[in-house]
Amino acid sequence: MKNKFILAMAVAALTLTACDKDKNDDNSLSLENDIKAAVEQYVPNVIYTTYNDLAKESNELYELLADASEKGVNELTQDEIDAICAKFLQARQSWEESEAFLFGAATDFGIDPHIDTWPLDVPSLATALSNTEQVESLEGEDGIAYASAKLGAELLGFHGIEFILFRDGKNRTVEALRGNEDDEAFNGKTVTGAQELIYATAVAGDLRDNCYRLSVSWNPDAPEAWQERCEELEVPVSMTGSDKTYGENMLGAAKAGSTYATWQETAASILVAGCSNICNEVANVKMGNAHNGEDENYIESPYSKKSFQDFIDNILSIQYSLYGKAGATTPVSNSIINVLKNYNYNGLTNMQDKLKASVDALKACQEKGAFVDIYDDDLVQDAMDVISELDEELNKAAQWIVKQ
Amino acid sequence: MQIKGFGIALLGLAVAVGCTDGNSGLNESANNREPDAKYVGQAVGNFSADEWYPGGQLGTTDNVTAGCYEDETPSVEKQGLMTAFNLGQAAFERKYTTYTAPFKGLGPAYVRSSCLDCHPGYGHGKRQSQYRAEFGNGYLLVIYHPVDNQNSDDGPYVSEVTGMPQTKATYPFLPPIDEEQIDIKWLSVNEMPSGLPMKFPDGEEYSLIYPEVNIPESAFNTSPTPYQTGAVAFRLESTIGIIGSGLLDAIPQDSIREQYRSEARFVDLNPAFWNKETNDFAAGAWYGYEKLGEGSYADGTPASTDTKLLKRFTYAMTRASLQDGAGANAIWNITNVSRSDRPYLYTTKAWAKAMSENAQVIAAIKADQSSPYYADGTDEGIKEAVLNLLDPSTNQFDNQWHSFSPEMSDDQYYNFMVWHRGLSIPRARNLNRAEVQKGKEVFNRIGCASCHRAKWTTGDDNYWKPKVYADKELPQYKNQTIYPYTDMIQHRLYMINGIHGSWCRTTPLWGRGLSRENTGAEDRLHDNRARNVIEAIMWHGYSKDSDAYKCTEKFYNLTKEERDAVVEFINSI
Repeated sequence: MKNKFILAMAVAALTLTACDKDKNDDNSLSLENDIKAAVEQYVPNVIYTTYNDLAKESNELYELLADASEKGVNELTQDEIDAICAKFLQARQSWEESEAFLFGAATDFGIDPHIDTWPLDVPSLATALSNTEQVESLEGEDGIAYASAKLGAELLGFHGIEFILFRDGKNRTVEALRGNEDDEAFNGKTVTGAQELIYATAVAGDLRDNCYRLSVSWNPDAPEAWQERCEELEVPVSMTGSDKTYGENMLGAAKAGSTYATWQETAASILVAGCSNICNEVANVKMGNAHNGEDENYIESPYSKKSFQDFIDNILSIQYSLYGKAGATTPVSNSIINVLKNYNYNGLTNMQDKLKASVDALKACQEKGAFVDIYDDDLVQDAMDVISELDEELNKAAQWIVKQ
Repeated sequence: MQIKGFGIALLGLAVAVGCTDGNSGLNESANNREPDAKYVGQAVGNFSADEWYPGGQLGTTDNVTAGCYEDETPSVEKQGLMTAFNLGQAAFERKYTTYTAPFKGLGPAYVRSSCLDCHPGYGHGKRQSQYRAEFGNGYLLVIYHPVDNQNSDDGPYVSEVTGMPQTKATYPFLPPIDEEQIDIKWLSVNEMPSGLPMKFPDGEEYSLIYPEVNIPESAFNTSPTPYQTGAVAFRLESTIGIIGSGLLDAIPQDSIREQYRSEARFVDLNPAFWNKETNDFAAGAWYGYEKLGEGSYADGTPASTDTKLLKRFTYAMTRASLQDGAGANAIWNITNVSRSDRPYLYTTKAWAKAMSENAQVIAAIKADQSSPYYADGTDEGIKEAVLNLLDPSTNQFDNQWHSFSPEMSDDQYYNFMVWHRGLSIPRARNLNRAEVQKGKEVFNRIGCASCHRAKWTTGDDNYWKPKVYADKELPQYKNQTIYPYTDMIQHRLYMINGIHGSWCRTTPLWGRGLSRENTGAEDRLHDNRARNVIEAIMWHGYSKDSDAYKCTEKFYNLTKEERDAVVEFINSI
């Protein structure tokens, strides 16, 4: 379900029950205050923390790749390649764990499509990397700017780097990088591993810059070096027509100048624009288009075969948003979940059950195989179904909150 | 989950409202703003209950948070079209590439590689100070020969570049226009020819800016260049909102005819569309079988050869049915992705000639035997292949040089149109607030609603569809009361560096108040010159000749409280 808030009778019943139970003169005002406290917990401890991790890890990935490229493939060890691959997966995890709050900078500045477009256009990559002049342009510090401006999103972002680092679900071998690229799209073209590393380094630099921008656009206290890099790139890092960051805007809800008119509507945005949206994306697009369209070209992360892990991290992103802390396995006291609990929202158990069931269903898929290999399996349909049910529960909770 | 329908949603609302009644006044927040959810679906003040649902029961989403422009209408789910909608959404959002499925076939020249680039967050494009074919830039360049040989808004498009000019090309070709040479300047209005001061009577100031565009001859990779065939002028046209287009397609032609008749008594309408003498549509208002091609209606009736549909889409009202409208066209010509019903490239002979005569292009093709332009491998052979294969009149699937296959499948195209016709309008917001109710009263009193007509009723929505959809159905919106706030008619505002062709369809206002939440920007008017609602309104009074001058003058003379109320109203519908 994408169309939010179109509700069934069950919700009306929940609303009635909750109202009756909590009817008292101070209920609404204290609810507002409790939501405010939950949002004040959520913004720094979920959004700022996740984007901070992402920016830091993407920079480490860039530096590892730059070092490897400078060292040269003949001197590179398998351990060093494995370390780069591990760092890639760490940064990838942070990105997937941020997808329950794609609203704001990631969407408004087009960062999401810039760094996470798939599928990778491998034949165009082959053409680009077999062009000596283009590879030279990608080399060195200026290579990042060249990649950002000239390569196009279909060759940028996580999946371009993933292609260089992984094949068939495994880390690339040092031997493979010492030879020429043998993917069939490169037939008739001579592209060396060294050239591939130059490309991956430039793309990682562009990825790093965009992750810095995400952090700086939300968190007014993001590290100075990241802010300076954004200034150097001359990219906007505040909301259009304002000098406020996205974080300041959300924390300033219910005040003049914020796009969030009330605290209840802020909570609804976290639940719907954030959590529900990624539920829909996972169930109906990331999984659904491959499963229903019967076309593996719709599959994300096919080279590392980490699609199911991506989806699990997406659902965990919802969990952290609801629990009030990145990485949380239980709710912190000021959290959206506890607001719902403290005001006796009757749908809470259902929502929590569906959250857990979604992760379990994805883990069951993961155990059976990689998404690219089992995308038409019944287990995929089961996972899609339960994630859609979680989506419905998130919308019901949002509707309940705005009606209090 | 199947959508349970409006009646059940109302029941839920009634329960919530009953609950609130017992706590009257207790839900006021610190700034006296309470969530409107508990009033949704009720008559409040001067709003009727159905005004909460501008897209009607079948065309409105109750979601008003960021991302709501992406929602499907209730009809999509009700008709079991969700899978097609989701696949169509991917066709809109994803980048097209040259070779990689599922979205392949980009180029050889193209405007953008993704629809989302021009429709960020599914909304309008954003104001730009430089032209780059990338995310957020919803501008199409307008390049034409001005009738006065200087800077008139009127004049025919140049023929050397496509009507929607391309600034990108796939290797080894050069783009028809080098975008790095495009210059956009934003200039300020110091005073308006109408005489309306740049300061309201209470002292509050406003400012207006407008774009001036220049593209030097050296930027054109065409032979000849447009400069060699006449004087050249430039404009920018931003993408328009795409939500609710299916609902506009469902407004009966006869209802629109009555609107023309009622307005023709007071204002001169575009003579290309309305014949004042016969008090009926002019020939130019119709889009006929010869352009539509074979098709049928939703009920299965074949569309006869004398089929003619009323033009209603795009600023210039160049298209009739949505199924042959801007989106159906753009998914082909913006990316230059062919499909079975579009076997021709969107290019020009002048570009094909320039590319066929470019030594670097010939050399690059000569070095790649797998190139479809390789021919016999000689310079002359390659030149002939390039000249003919890039020609807009060459059937890409059936020619003597290289026959390509359709790049977008019929199923993909159908899915895309399910998505396009299935985009909903978000429900109205804050209609319970006194300021918004006041704004509605003032909006109507000063005459804004004369053109921004609020209410329409859809008919049986027996929509036209092309043969390529076969017997598949699209989202349908029968007998819906909708509130798009447009008269579906063109007017003239006479702004400086105005819109090409001078006439512009009244833009629907529904859902626009959520632009900032969905796109991060709220620019308005055809080239995003208005940075907020006040500026958009005051541009309507730039000239005394403007069809909206008198309304704007009345707006100018309102109190600040009334002006703010109008803005609140516009942002709430």
